[in-house]
Amino acid sequence: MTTLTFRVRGMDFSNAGEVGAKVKRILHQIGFEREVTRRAAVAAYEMELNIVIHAYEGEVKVRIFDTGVEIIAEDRGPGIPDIELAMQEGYSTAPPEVWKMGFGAGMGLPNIRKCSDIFEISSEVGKGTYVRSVVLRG
Amino acid sequence: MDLLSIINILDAEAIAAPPRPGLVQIGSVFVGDLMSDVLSHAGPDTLIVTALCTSQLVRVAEVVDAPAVCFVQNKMPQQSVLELARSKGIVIIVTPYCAYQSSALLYRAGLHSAVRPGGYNGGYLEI
Ligand SMILES: Nc1ncnc2c1ncn2[C@@H]1O[C@H](COP(=O)(O)OP(=O)(O)O)[C@@H](O)[C@H]1O
Ligand SMILES: [Mg+2]
Repeated sequence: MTTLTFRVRGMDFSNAGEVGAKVKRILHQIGFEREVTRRAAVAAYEMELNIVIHAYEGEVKVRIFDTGVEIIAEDRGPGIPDIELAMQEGYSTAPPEVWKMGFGAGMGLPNIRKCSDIFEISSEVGKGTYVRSVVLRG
Repeated sequence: MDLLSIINILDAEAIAAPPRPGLVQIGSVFVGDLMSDVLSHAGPDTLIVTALCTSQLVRVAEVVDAPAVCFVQNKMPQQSVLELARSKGIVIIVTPYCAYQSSALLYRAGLHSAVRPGGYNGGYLEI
């Protein structure tokens, strides 16, 4: 098993996307199937960007097993008051200044759920948010 | 379709990681500027056509294994974006045409959309 930990800072767009890109490269290198690699990388990317856009700071932890990948994103941030609403396709509170960079489509959380075999999310308003995704091989 | 033929069709120029003949094959096209949309629809055979020439675009291309990105209306990215693309081996081309014209040209050439209503593995909506 391999564990990778990435620190992510809010509103740091210079590196935004590198977590997903790295997950993609590593899984590809160790020979994971293309579709499994894709799903894990997309989930990692959306989890990273949610910290960048919506939280103050956080961590994305990626654990790679023979059988699949587990990605956990944990942040210190404003939290999500209504998770059911946040999970809806197209719902976004992303600030206008990130729209011109192509963010704020409100498809991130739905994308993560679609890519995951196991998906968990919990949040405490004023504290932060926890998202867990497991992508299984075969 | 060979990416070189596409470069021809779009009167485009390769400005990062120019492909060798026969090396990059394109089977579908995604046109848009939203990162999450690219992630939902683009794949290893997709040309991403976009007006957004940022480093984020290059990173989502890498995440979904898309081999090439086309910037429309001769939009020139910053040098750092080109360097990032080179380091990842992602071809960047620029076309003088807008997204609408580029789409028309690629459609006429027989390429289909990367957007499948049911998501990445869903079926196509034929027109
Ligand atoms: N880590 C987070 N911290 C606080 N709010 C979040 C976080 N992740 C998501 N959200 C909330 O859920 C909404 C939907 O998220 P998402 O589907 O990723 O769309 P987008 O990021 O494009 O807004 C966000 O607009 C935001 O209100
Ligand atoms: Mg998001």
